[in-house]
Amino acid sequence: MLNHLFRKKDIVNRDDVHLLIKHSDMTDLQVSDTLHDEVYAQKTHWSSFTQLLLMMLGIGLFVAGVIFFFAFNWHGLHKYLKFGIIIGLIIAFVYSAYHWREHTLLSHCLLTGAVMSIGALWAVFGQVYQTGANAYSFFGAWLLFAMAIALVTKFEPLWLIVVGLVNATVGFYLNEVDLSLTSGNIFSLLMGINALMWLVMALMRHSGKVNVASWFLDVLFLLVCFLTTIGICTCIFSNDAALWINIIIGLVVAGLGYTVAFREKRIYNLGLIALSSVIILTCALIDFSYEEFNILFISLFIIASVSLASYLLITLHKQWHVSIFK
Amino acid sequence: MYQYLSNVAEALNQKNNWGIHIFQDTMPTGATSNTDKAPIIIRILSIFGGFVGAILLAVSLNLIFQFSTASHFVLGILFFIGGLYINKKVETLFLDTMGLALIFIGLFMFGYSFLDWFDSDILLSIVYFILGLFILYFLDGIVMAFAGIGLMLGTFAYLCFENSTSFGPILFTGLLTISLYIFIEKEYRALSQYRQHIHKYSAVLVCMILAMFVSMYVSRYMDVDYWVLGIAPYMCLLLFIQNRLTNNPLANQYFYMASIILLPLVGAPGIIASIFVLVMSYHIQHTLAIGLGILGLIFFIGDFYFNLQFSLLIKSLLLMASGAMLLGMFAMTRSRWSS
Repeated sequence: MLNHLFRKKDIVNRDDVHLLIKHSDMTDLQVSDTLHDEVYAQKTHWSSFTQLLLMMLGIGLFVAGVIFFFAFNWHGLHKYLKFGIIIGLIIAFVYSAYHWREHTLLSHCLLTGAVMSIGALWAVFGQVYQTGANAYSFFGAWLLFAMAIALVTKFEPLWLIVVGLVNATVGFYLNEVDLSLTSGNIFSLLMGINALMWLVMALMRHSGKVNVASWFLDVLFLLVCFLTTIGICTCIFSNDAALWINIIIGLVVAGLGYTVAFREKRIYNLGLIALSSVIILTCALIDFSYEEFNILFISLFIIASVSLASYLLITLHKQWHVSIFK
Repeated sequence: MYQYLSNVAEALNQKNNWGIHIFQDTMPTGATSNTDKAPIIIRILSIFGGFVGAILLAVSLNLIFQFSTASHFVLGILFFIGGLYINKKVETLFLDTMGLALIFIGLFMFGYSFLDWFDSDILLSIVYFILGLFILYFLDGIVMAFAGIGLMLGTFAYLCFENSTSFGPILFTGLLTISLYIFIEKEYRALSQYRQHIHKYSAVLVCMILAMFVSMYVSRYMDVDYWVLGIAPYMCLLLFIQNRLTNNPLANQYFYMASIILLPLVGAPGIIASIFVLVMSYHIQHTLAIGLGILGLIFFIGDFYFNLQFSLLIKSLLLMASGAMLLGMFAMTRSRWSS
């Protein structure tokens, strides 16, 4: 279904049409015909688009409804009926996924619906048996089942849910149970776990045994850089002793990102590392002093460092992607 | 580049029996365009650095020299001219962003002193609107185009929203929706009439979509009959469907079906506006606009259910019913189209 979602380039794409209009004597009618024939969506694309939209929205709204239904904790409903409804729903999702297994995307979306329903099942379990107020145990139990399905399906959006659940489980555990850690330490742990997940996925992709989408790796690396930046900046402003641990983890992440970027010729990782570095160094300078002249120095530092970084990145990008126009 | 475009033109000429000629003299030499576009992460880095650097520079200078109103006015104009100069002379993305930041700091300082002297926000909005038009038309670069149209729409929105009557927001969102419809439906005309500004098309489109979403959201908190806002996207969407269905033997049936299915969504203007954006941008295969449409749809559906004045139980049942209805429609279209 996804293969027919976007128009493939036949003779021209949108950018080519723009260039042609700018540098040629194309008439209004020719522009219109070219856009309609070569760029705009055709009948087959529309049918794929409509089906995908209806399916995604349908499953999304239905599962959201199920979650809210059980979140309401309706006392008029007997506990076994609650379990019956939710287990029936999970079975229906899994059976439908198996039934339409040849339609990969549909089957994967249905399994995602099953994973979300498993979360609702654990929430109902917690409500009925009053298992305690610890959110981490709920997310942990949900994570185990989600991980099992994610490993079988190899569907990236489902893996993203697993990543979210891992972070929620660890985060809630450290906030609710193990209160000995500072916020800097919590960030160190989250940085390390996410960096490890990103590294494993990158290695799997590199080995060629598992087909990991590049957008998924990009999202994971964005998460790692975000946590690293926030973690180090938090330590800087709160004088946390975990600062040096976070800096070391940050340097390791930067080194790994740098290696992957050069190996796969991806400017994205380098850009993120540069952005994080500039933000972290700016925070360090702000923490040093709030005086007018320091702010002036910071502004000059940002201008200089970003100029240098963008110049180097653009040069590298041009080296890696030799233009077809040359 | 000339060789590549000549080959493309030749292929089109052969396919359609046209006689397109490429102008070699207007073309930049060397490697330019498509593949030389800076990746999105470098753009983000440049925009971040340009804005934060310029703003901090202005703040620190202000703190060090303690400017008066007259100094704000003079410096504002100087910053504005400096930004224009950078835009015209330099073609680096980062410096372009710096130039834009300088222009905005200039506008801010100018506006501060203007308000201090004349005390008329309406007059200032009109001045800003004209300056936005100037930036859009005369300055180069995608970021500048985005800023120019953003300034124009922002000031127009301010004028429409500022007196807190329901007419202003309705006028703004209605006009914006109709403009967006024409801008997309008649894309070829916009492109061929403004050939030298062709690279600004995407920036203007994205800014208009964002402005429509923001105005739809803000209108909720104004004294507006909320459902009235949904009429313009509903009508435009139906017009679009009707245009696509010409030559279809079942055009009338499909059209009436679509009008009935979409009618309840008039009460949720954000959702119907997102569907309008999603469908129109999918038609022209504009990836960024499609992404905005999807994000808008997710946001406005969430917002709609969150603000419904029902209990959580009723809301959940409504959600499940909507989901089941859409899944039913999916099953119907699937069996119909596959047969």
